[in-house]
Amino acid sequence: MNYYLKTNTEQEMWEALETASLAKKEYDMTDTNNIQPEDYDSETNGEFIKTGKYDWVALCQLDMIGTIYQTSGTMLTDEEGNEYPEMIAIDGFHANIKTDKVVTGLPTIDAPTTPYRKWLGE
Amino acid sequence: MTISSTTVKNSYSGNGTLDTFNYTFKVFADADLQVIIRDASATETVKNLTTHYTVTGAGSASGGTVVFTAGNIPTATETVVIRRASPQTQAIDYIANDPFPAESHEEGLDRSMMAIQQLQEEVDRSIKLSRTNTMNNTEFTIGDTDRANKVFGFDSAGELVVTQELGTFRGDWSASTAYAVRDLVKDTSTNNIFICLTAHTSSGSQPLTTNADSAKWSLLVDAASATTSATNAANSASAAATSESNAATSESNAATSEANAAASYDDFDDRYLGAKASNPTVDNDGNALIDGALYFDTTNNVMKVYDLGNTTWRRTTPTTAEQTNINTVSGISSNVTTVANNDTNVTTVATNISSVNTVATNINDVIKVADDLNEAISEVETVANDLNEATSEIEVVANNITNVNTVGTNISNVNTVAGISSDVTTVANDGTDIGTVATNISNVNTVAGNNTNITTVAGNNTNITTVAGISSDVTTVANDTADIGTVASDISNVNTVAGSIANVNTVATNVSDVNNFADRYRVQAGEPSVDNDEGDLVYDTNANAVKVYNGTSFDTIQQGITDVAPTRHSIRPSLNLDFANSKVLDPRITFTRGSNATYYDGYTSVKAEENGIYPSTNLSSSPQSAGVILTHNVSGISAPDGTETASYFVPSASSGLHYSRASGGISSPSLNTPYTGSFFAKANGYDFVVVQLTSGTSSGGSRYAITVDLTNGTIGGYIDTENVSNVSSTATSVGNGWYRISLTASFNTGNASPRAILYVVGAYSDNLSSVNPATASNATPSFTGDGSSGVYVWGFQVEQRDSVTAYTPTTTSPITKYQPALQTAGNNVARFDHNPTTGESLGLLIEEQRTNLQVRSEEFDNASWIKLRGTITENKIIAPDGTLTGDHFVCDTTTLGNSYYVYDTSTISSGATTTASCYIKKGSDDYARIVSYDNGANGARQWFNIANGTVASSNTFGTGWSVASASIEDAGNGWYRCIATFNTTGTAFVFQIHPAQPSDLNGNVTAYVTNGFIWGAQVEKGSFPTSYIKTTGSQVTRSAENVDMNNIDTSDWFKQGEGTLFLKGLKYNQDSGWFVGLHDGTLNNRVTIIDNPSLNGSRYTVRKDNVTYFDSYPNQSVSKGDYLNTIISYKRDDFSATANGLSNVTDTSGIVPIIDTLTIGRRWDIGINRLSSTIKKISFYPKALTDNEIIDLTEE
Repeated sequence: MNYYLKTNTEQEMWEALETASLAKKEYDMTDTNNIQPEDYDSETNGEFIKTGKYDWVALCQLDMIGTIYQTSGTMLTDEEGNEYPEMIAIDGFHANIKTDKVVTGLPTIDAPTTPYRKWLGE
Repeated sequence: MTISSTTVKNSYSGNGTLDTFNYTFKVFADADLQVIIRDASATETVKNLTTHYTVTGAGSASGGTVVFTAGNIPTATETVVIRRASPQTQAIDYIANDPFPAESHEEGLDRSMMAIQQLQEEVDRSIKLSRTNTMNNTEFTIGDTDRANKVFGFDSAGELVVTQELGTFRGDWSASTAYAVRDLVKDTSTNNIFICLTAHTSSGSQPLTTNADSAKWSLLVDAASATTSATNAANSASAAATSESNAATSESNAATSEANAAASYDDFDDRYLGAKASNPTVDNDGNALIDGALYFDTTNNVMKVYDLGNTTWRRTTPTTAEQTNINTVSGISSNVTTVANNDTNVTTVATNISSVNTVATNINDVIKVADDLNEAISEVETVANDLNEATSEIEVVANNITNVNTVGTNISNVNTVAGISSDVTTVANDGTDIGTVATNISNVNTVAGNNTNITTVAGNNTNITTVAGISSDVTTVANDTADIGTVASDISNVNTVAGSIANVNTVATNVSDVNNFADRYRVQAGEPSVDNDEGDLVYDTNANAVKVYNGTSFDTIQQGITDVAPTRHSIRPSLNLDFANSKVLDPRITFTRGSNATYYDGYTSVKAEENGIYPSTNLSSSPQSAGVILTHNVSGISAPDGTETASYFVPSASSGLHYSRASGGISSPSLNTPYTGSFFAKANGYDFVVVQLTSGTSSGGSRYAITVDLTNGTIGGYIDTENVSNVSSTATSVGNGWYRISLTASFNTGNASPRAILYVVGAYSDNLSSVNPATASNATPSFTGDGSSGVYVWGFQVEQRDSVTAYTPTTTSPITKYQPALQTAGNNVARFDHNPTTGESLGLLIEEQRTNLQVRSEEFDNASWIKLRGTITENKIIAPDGTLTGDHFVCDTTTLGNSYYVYDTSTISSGATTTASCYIKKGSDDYARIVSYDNGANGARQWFNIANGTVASSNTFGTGWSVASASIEDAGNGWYRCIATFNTTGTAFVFQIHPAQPSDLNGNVTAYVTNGFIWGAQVEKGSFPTSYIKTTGSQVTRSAENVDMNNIDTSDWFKQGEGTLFLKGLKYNQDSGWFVGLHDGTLNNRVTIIDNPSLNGSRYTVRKDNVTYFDSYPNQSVSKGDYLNTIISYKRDDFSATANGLSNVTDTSGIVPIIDTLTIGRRWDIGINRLSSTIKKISFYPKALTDNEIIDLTEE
């Protein structure tokens, strides 16, 4: 089952997915700020606190698209004289998810007739 | 009177009510005044006497008034100007000899003066030269038409001109434009307006202030500064508004704080009343006292607190009991000081209070230990001394705690044995007998086990008697018992021989050869001295060498295998995921992927180019009809490929049939199967050509013929369909008067000489619509030519397909080519990938999630792909996926430019490293090029040699962009996937594909190129390409693979505590992709092998309970595209790892985690570090192999 999602920002998108139990926040353990040094003295300094960056873990097929661009219908000309279509951004932050489960509470939009992006084979 | 005033004009402002205005000069008549109203827009209107106003005072020397009539009173925005406008005439007539008419004469003089004053007033309002200034000519003769819309001005000599223009606005500035003096332009980079000072042709770029021609321009309007000022003003206004708001907020906060402070102080004042000589009855505000209020009693010098419950003031002194305690502490102050001095120790005790409590709880045990330590022979000391010994019995017991636990578990049995100790003693005393029985226990068991047989023997007494009667025979057999035993002991060999009796017979049949081999090859110590023939071989066990007899002596064969590892494969893995060879997933593996994905299966190929005609350029050199004049390689006529290899087909001047056949053809064509014939034709005298596709060269069979008008490509007129189905035809202009004509048909009837072949059956002056194919002789129209007119023909092709493909030339033999076909795996189906050209099995393909940002990846004919100096013909060649979807890019050879290409624009993440790829097949030229840029002046170019499949040169233009890496992959049959990874800036990504380039020179193309084939364009975010993703109108995403084997802790192949993990995979340049891991679902407990791109090798890690015990990443000198045989063995205090037979890295300290899952190709906790590569094999050995063993296993 495919869902087409739209929020105002990426942060809102992740929060919506986390609320729907489709994503969770985890620390990036390749960031050394998240790894407790071997000589760390927890008795003196207390429990080690991670301060590095984090990642989000998707629990479904997730395609974070971000901003969607469409042609405006206007053709522009580059410095070599080649024409190219003017691209304009559509408002919002977009994502596609694919899951076997029925999920409610997501910021869905109607399935577009011609999606900006889809899954291979569909 | 006299004219003593020079005033001739008065001016006033109206107010909407004042209707009377004075004039202060003399006029002779009302009509001598002119009244003018000037409105707010500077429009002047001369008012009419009587209609708009009336006049008083005409003739008065001091003037009079002008009175505006109702409805015409000047408004507040209007100015009233009253001026004298005496008529410019002379009305006094002097009559000779009459008395001197003084009054009339004076009036005449007055009128003259008035006229002079009026002229002076006009002159005073005129622009004029000063008395000392000069101008040669103050007149102009230019007519009104030429003066129209011009400026009155002065030329370079200061003379008057009336055709001057201020300047011509030329719009936005642009390069290569001729500008004249006073041309005005807009600098679009700053919005400033400039005026041209010196005529010139522009060059360079904006802004004009830094342009090389900046001195030729002068800034007229500084719009940039104005814009900046406006922005700054707006920002200042906004900041001021914010400051105002903040100030108001601060004011409010300050007021609130003031009130809060006052309230707080009052609250404090109510609670602490200050110093007083006696107990107060109210607080400092005169209000009732509150419970707990304080004050300082200056009479007694003590603090007092108010007890509201008892409405009394109390001294804040300790109770009697408390005072007693105080006194006690005072008495032991030295002890308190001692404790204070031992603060560290007290803290230590506090920190370890749980241990102290434990000791306190177990104080009796402590006392016992203390007592024991005071004894002469202390058990505690005995234990401690034992633990300090080299071989501690206690440690032995601890190390054998499993056995001790076993005894504990079986203590009831032990007790049972203790309870029957006398019996045990008895048994012990009979040890000899028992030993004898034990020694013969097999016999005893045999007897016991054969109890039934003994009974049977007893029941067969008769038979035994019979045997006794033939005892001599039995004896004979008994005498041969050794032989029988030998046969029995070798019965498996006998059975083997029986099962291979055919081979035995074969050997028997070839026994001479066997004997010959035995004569020819011997194994022995030293060299044979007899039966030596030239060429005999011997393995000399003394020399450990194979030797050959040269007729006189033995020569040692020194080449060949010199080092055979003796230990390899003596150890077998308990888990062997041999993906490359098995090409199936182990059923214990859980595999998911949420989308389709592409790969090569190693065996599926499709037919690509095919042409049964040879040579393909010409018709047969011997026309099948005598009435054909055929000329090959016509000079001066360019065939579609530019060569002079076309043929000229001319019907002779004699009436009859005129046809000729192409050479070759596809032999024995299948019935009911589509075949397509095609060729090129061009009119020369006759505009119509008839061509026929047939099932053979004899009469009869199946045929499909069409007539084509070579002036416009129309198919019609004479059409013949005899025993064919599914017919179709095309005629497409290819330029220069040439048309490519194709016919497709399925033959329903065979032919005596079966061959799919093309005939040109005539060139005509009309489309033969009047000819009935059913009655035409041999299905060919009869015609009388003129002996010189005809058609040019070239490029014949016949292929077994339902539509025409690109022309494939042949010379001396037909061509049929095959190519590997890219396959598509469905959702959750694993991909076992292969090298498309060598067929090498690459193993399990695992890739991260990727999106093809390039839409219409196979539809270059679509309008979204813009074509520059070329055209696209869709679906002209078999594409790498085996479908007829490869597009043909044909260059415009009449326009020589620096590039011929198709391009499209995608949007990428700003500045993202982006990989672009496209399948390209050579058409005319050896090189192709991929160019990417930002829609501006910044980009990079990468050339590829598509003739030999190598990466050529690259360069950049502008700034910020570069080619990070490039590669080319052979997709078979001339197709190459050309790949370039670009460092970018911005979000625009223009993808140009140049399928035809004459060289890899960095400059512009200075020669014509012709054509090339393209398919499968892909743009993806990342530093390396992944498998092809087809797109149509949308971007398309391929999901990542997840590969796991769960619950391995309960499997029969896995062993906790130790093991050896082996992987053979293709090293790629991804970001630390995780090859394989054993784990418990967390990163805290794991054994992992990770691709380590920074050091060209593997990273090996063992962690338990979030503590790393082994973490090594040696440089193993393995580059992208090389295979990595990598391995780690692990057990407590013994870790070892290596790759590709290199020296191993070790660690002799550490423990291993508890594991329940095997994961392949990714980190299992988060979505990063996914592998994008192929894995041939993963093996697990349920023991920690030795260093030599793991090195040996990785050597192959």
